[in-house]
Amino acid sequence: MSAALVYEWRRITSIRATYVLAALFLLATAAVTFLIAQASAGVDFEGNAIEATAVPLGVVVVTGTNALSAIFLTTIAAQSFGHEYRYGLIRLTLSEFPRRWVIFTAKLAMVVAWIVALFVASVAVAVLVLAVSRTDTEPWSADVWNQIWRSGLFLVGYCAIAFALTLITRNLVLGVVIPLLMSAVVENLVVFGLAERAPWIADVLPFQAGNRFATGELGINMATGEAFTNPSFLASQPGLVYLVWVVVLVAASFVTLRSRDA
Amino acid sequence: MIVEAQGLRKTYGSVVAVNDLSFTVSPGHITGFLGPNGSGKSTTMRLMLGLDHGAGTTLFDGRTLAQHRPVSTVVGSHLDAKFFHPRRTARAHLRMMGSEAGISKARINEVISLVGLQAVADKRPGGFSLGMGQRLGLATALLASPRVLLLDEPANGLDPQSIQWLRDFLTHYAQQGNSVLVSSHLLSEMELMADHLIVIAQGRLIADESMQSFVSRSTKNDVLVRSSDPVALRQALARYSLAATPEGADGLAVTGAATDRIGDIAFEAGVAVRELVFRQASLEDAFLETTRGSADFATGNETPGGAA
Repeated sequence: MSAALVYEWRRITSIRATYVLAALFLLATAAVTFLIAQASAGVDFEGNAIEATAVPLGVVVVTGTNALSAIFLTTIAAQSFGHEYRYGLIRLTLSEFPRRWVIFTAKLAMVVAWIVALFVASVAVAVLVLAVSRTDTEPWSADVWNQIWRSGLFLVGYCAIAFALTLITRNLVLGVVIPLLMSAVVENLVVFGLAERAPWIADVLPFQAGNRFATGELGINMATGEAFTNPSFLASQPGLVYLVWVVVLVAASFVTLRSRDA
Repeated sequence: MIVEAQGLRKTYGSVVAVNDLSFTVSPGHITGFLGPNGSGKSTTMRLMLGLDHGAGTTLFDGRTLAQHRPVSTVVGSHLDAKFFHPRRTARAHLRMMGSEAGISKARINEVISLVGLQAVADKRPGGFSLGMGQRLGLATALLASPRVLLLDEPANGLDPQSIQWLRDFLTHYAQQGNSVLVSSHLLSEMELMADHLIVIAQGRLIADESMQSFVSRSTKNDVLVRSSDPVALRQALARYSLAATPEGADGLAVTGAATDRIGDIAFEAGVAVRELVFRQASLEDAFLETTRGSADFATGNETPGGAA
């Protein structure tokens, strides 16, 4: 396993795209933080004075990681197998590591390690930007920590889904685009379209559940337009629903790797 | 290291690409792997490496590849000249591929020199020519000094000097007790390089024998005899049931007998012999004869000038 981890470390660190994507992610986080800081600074975009509010760091992190900036990290995750299939390297890789679970585990572990490291870096960037912009920030609290670790887990799951979909489709672009479209467009259309007939649908969709888990909010009942007062089991456990989706997709991708020809 | 492929079989739907293929690749030899286009050579190599799923097993000194550690010291493979990331430098590519066996930087430099890629080692291989890609692929295969080399068309795109280098290198590599299985459609090159042949067609084994034995079975092996009276000599040969075909003004191409026997017959017939020479068929002749009608993607018989 250690050899596979070394292989994977050398793979991910030897292409410039990894560093470019990481930098873009941190830059996007900085930009999101800066915009939120400006919006809370007591001056609107036309220079008129408005009531200043303290910037909630937890919201900054949730916004930074759930917004489009996450696509940079999902691309890093998708490249893990995406490049191997695109350039035929998979045959070299599997020749060296004939026990496929070894390289699968190493790649997944390396992706998770990079995502966690970059997420931690993005939190640091957010704190730094808020400090530099001299914006009043809400004090660190249990709620802030709660939102931060939830966002981190959401992001790891999101990237694991991209990793898995790339392996299943053997296509880097699909591995990035499918989760993006699902989370930003398709799921929302499904939820609104089935609000009357299947109001529970939002509880079982992966990114709806993932977003609820990340924000720590249960959302609203799409049928009534009101906040849940007595949610069902699935609606009250968005983290579990999200986790099941992630595990199922990752397991399916492993079965795919194991059973297909290289 | 002895490589034993046993009962390899691979199907794509109803198409049988490799059909119950068994053979052995012995150490100390370069084994040529021949077959018409689409005969299943590449699929066989992928099956041997465990890249494709199918029936049968391939044992390396009695064990499957997955049972060896590190794998890259057992077998080095080169299946395609373009198996690299176009923006990862050649050196970084080799460093990555050397991870499994813990290859040192010194060994990477050594292999880069060996294949002649020093000038471009730190360049991105996206712009490499086919020949340079082949060299990088060979470097990857050789990195961990494996005891078995599986090479699929390694001479494609190489210039004559590089082909000669490849031949000399593989000959030396095999002489050190390593096993080499190499496929190529450059039959003249294979004739110079390999000493054993495995020939397949439509996924089935056609021949598994030494180069000499394979070529000697060709009907193109004959004896050219030039004489003072070819008509009389032909009649004399016919009395011994030997077929002779006129060739040139005074020549006969005789099959089925060695030079000394033909000389004796000419002597008995009182015909003066001006030239008596054995002409050996080429590997190409023998290969085409053996695989005639077996090509999955055979061309027609028409020549550029019209029907042959």
